[in-house]
Amino acid sequence: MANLAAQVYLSYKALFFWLNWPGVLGNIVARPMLNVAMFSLVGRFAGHPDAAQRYVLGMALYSIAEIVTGGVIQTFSRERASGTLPLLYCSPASRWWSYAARAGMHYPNGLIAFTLSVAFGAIFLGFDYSRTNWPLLIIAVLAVTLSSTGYALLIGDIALLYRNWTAIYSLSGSALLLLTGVLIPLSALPPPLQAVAQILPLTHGLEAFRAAFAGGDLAAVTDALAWELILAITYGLIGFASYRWIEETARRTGMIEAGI
Amino acid sequence: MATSMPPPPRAFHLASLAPNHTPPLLGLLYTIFGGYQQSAAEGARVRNLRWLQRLPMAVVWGWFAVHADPAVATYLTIGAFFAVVWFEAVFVMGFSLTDEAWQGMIDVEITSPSGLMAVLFGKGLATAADAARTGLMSAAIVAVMSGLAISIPQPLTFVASLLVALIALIATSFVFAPLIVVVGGAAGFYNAIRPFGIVFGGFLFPISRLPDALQPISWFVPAAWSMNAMILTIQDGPLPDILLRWAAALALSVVYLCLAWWCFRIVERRVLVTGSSLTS
Repeated sequence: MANLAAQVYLSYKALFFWLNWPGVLGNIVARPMLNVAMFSLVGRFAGHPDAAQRYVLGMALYSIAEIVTGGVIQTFSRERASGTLPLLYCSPASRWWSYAARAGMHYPNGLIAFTLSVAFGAIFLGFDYSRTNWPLLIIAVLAVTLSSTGYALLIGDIALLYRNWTAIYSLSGSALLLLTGVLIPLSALPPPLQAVAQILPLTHGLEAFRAAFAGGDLAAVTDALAWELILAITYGLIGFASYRWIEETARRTGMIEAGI
Repeated sequence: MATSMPPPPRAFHLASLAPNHTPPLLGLLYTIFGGYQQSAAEGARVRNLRWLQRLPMAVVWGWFAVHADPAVATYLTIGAFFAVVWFEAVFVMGFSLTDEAWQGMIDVEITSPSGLMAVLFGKGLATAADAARTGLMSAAIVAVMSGLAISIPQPLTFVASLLVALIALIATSFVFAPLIVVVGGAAGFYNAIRPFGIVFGGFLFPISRLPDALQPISWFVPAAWSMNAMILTIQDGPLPDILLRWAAALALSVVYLCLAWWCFRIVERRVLVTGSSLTS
């Protein structure tokens, strides 16, 4: 356990680009609140009467995935850029823990970003949380943060193969922004994209999340929460398998940092 | 015994070695144009997938415009252009000075007669021009999704408003090049600056839609005034009101450029005093 804790701490401290005051304030504090403001106010301006409630919720949930994905992808990219991958590959350390440890400190960052987003919506945008079912809300947020983390770890593998991590980050985030219903309702998407939405994180969690703010009951959204957790585990396992495959390929070909 | 302070360093100019007979203003224009050309060539080589990264956002704005009335759809279409130019320009310009340091060019630029700011201003214009292409793509997406519900009652005033907005945007973006070096620390900082500009610059909604407590922040953002003029233009508002907002936007842009000049002076001085081109 001490080994795991050390890995969580060191991978955060050594591999997170934004671990400085401008970076932390900018990404974990200011950006989630500003994104909530941006989309809620554009929605209102465009004549969507439920903009505050709908878009504050959507963007607050999206802020979790945004910061977790950004942070976790960086750990892969920086590992490669710093030339420490060979050391990792020749170490006897548990690959599962070295893989999972990358997300350890980013998970709480997601929760902080979410809390600030909702608080901003309540203070400045008239967001109504009077009917909230708090226990359900907490369960939904924890589930979404977990699925976002699994997704981030899987996407992060790509950063071991492709140098431009900002493009990976931006495009993986865009998929969530466009397809999961955080802003555009799923019913407005073409059927093939609706099918894609079902296997993305946030989609099912959003259903439980919205129900929590509407005062809904846990029993009504059990399926949605179960799907969100299944996706979290699936992303985690596929991501880990990919991670091992990349390592095995690197060992076999001798091209450890030879992506595109 | 009190020791006397060493004299402050003086800028070293190549012109003192090789006299330059080009008129200063023409030399400045040459420098800006040269910076533009160099950056445009380099930008074409390292653009990567930046243009693709902006388009999903445009789809979201387009979705907002689907059922909006023509004035709102027009504003969102134009705003999408400026928002994307802002997203790109502030990021690339913000890193431009540190990029110069990494590439070992700062020493050369500081010793040139035109100075560091002129070179980077030229590069900044190239960045804005490059971003404008992605901006146009985004505006086209929003326009098409809104069903081309575009309405521009005063075309000439509209073009002038576009120009003023572009000047305001470039001036605001440009200040970040030296500011980030002066303040120190840039990684991740732009992820907050980008939405900040969109929210308080009024690119996608009028600043009057901001909560009352937040509106005063936008008074200090040049783009907010220029976009205010833009919405008056779209709504066929009175020309004196539009002129007033143009004046405010341009005056604030001048203030921002002066701030940029002052920050560049600090950076130049820091390089001269420390003898190091690593400025951050």
